[in-house]
Amino acid sequence: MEGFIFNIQHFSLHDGPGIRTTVFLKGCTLRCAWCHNPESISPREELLYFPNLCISCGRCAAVCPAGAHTIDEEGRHGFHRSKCVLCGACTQVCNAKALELCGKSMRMEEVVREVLRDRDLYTSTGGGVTFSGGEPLLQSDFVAEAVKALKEEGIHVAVDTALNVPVSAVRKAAEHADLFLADFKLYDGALHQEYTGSDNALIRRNLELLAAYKPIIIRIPIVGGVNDDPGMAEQAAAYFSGLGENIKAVELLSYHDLGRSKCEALGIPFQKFFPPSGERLGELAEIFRGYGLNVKVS
Amino acid sequence: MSGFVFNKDRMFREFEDIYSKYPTNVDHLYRLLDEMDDPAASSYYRKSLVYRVAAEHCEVKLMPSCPFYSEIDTGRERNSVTSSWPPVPGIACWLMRKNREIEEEFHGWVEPFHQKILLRSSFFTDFAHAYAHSEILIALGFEGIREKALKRLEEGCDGEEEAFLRSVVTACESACRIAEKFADKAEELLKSEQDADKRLNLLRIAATARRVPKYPSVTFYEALNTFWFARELCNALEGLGFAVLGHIDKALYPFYRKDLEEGRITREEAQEYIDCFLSLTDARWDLNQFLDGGTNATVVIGGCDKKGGLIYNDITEMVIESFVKYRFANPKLQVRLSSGHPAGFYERVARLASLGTNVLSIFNDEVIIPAHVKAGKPLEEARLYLAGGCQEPMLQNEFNSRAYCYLNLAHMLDVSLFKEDWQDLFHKEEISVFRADTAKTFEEFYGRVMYNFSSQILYFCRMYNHFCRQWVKTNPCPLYSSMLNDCIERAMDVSVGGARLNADSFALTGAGTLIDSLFAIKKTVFEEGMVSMKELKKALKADFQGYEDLRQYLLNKIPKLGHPNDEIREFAKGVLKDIARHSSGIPNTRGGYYEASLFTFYAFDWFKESRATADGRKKSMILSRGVNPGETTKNVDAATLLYSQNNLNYTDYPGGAILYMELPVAKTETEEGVFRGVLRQFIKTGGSIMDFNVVDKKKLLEAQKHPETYRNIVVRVCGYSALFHSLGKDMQDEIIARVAR
Repeated sequence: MEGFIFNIQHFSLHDGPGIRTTVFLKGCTLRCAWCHNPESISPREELLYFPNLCISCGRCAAVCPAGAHTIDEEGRHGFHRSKCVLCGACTQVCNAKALELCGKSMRMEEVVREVLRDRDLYTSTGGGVTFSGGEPLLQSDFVAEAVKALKEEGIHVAVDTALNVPVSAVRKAAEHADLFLADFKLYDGALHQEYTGSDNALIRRNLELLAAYKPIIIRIPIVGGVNDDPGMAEQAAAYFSGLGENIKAVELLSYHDLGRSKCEALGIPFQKFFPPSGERLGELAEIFRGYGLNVKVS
Repeated sequence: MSGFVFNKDRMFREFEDIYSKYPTNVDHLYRLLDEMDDPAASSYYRKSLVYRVAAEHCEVKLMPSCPFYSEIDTGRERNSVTSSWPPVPGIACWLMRKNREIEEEFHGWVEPFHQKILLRSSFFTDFAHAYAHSEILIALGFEGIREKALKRLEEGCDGEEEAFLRSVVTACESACRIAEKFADKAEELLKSEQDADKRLNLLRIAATARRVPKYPSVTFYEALNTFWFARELCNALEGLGFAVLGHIDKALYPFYRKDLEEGRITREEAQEYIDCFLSLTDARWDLNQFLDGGTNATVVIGGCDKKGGLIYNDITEMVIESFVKYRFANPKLQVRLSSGHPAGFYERVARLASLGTNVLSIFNDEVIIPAHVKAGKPLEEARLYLAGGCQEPMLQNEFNSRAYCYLNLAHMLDVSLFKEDWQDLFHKEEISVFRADTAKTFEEFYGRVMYNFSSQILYFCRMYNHFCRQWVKTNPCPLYSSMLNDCIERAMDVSVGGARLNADSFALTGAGTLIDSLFAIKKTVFEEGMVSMKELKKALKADFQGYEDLRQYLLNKIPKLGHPNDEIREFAKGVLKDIARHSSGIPNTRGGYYEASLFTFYAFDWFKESRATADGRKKSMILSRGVNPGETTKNVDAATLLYSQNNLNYTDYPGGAILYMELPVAKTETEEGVFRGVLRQFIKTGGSIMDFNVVDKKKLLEAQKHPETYRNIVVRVCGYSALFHSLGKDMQDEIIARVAR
């Protein structure tokens, strides 16, 4: 069984308890306007191009079968994404790492072997492995198998998902996983549709089903002017607190614009948002706490 | 009950009053010494004149809010890290000032090597990281040591030995006289002192100083005072720097137990004493000044005793507690850890680390003890290791030189590639090296590089031995020797090998740069043939101007130390083994041997003007720090950093191998767990020494803009810690850049 992966991050401190390794799977069902991992959206390979690293050596132009790379009279490199056929030839010859293919198929055993490297760090800190994305449950068979294999090794496993996937996909992954990190963007369905391209009915349904039998940490990216409204927080808080004991915590993650350089590398437009003010973040945290929820702000 | 309550602010003010006037003028004492001097007499006799003059003519200082006594004004400076070379103010360096020709000879010799950036060395022996063996003084007192010396004299000895032993006797008598002066001073101050707490301290000193350290220390307070007294007396009189305060939880615990049992002290009072003791360094030094090398003071906790029994007790906890409470910038806290230490120890150390106080170094007993045993030292001695200044390991019964000569591994390789640029100097000095750039295979190339490395090491050993033979003439140290095991028995000064153990090491700087450069040459020149040796040399010579494509290839397409790549891991292991072998086992002048060390201090920065290297590093970029990956290696996370060391054998390096661990400040308790995990993993993966640098990048950037509002951020410069605002802009930038990686 193979998974389509775009990164494996060791010494990950913010995707669940302890020291963890996070496996990022490529492909997502949402199109959040503020996405900070835009390279995770497409389920296919993509070419990342970092113009600031390019030294205009011309090797890419020499090997490109599609004429996507050019060198002009002044010796400057140009990239024409529409012509790119994703063959990857240029990434092989680019010494400056200005061109890279994002996304590769990895065998489940290969992934497990790599993450087990840090087993001692997980054991000593109550950490483990987190499957994230993109939307990892788009590859629920792979995730389910990898989770099972890791559980057999005694590793704590978390799944970081937006839950906008079929119920069966969630159930499959949930069979062996210890913890879910459920990304919840907006309580209001219409706004959810507006900002993520999809309403949140399926997400809520999955969350409710999952809350019946799995520990969950809810994670909300707080974006200024989008979902930092106290009224909406009040509604969301009431909703989460009604889901019972399995909602272990609510994490409020302040928006950041680290997605900018990746958008540039992907040649897609970057939409600028703003983080909420510190006071507002504190105010929201208080609202969630008011509903008896364990709140973390970062 | 002792009734001592530590009042930090008041004590710091009293210290400031005294030390802001340093250095005081002691010209009259120099004249006196000159009058007493007999240039034809032995250097031992001449040095003992300094002791006598100090005892009779130097003023002692007491700070009434401090229960400890030690300060004798010998004219030394306030921020005296090392007390010596070039001779610093004060009578301690009087004899050295009479022997400037050796200094001139040394600097004349070393200068061309400095200019070629092959090494950096301020003197021919380590004058800053000694340990006055306080535990000997605690057990015997100066009177006991004096009797030992007298007895040894009776056993018969030659003229040289006799001169040494007589100066030991003078040193002991002078030290006792100096201690008495503290009692006199306390009695004098008591006549007018009204404050109840201060009177209590002065009464304590008046009642103690005539007995201790003349006789063995009996109480916890006395033993603690003796630790400080021994070190400061040596700093004031020896013209040598005494960085190491000692293994205090091991040494003090029996005194504390006894005081507790006999109702002389409570845990709370002991804590007050420890708080005060640990404050002494910050109180004495002016930390707002930039100190090149910091205050050098270190305290060791944890580890084991000579039988291997683990040390972790109330004193250990009090020391950590004190650092958590007061956030000292000094002394450095050297924590000896092993997998057998209790979880509570790990937890407390992790907590301290996570706060970002940046005064911690972690020493792995499971690597450092075997390293010393492998170097031929008895296990019981190896178990009693300490560490000086930054992280230089030393045994309690050892004098070693660790932080006095830094060798530039990047240029030691450059010699093999560009013999033509080095031959004038090397020919003159008769250092035999072969061209390696003409080699046909990598094995041949590597063999020549190692031969040349060894050749350079042997030459440096020969030269340092030549200079070190003159140590005894310029500045013998009978006072220090009196506290070192075996000096009296052998009737030999520490400078000629009186100490039980004697090791030296050159600090090999830029291991990561060397490994990566060798590996890059192996891959590109000898395996892939993507560049010829001739072209590579041209590129290096041109600092990669016109060779940017090649440089990018070297930077990005060749595996580097720190990457989880099996081939580079194996290669690194081999190189480290080889350079350890070639830098170990050469005899020094004191009956010991040179041994391998990857201690680097700030030399990675001093050597940055080295020629471009084959790992893609351009001139002006720093060399790799400690055993960390080079600066050309990006994005190595902490887990991978620890993984990359687990097949390396640091037991080949008794001088230590320093891993710098940069982590973000913990904001929550759960993040403390991360630090615990890193500590455990460091021990488990066979690390040698780890320094934490735990910082909040945003805060540092703010602090750079508004230094006035961030006066208390302590950062790790390399082996030492300093207040961020006291550093120059370049150094601040370098520290911020590390966090960005």
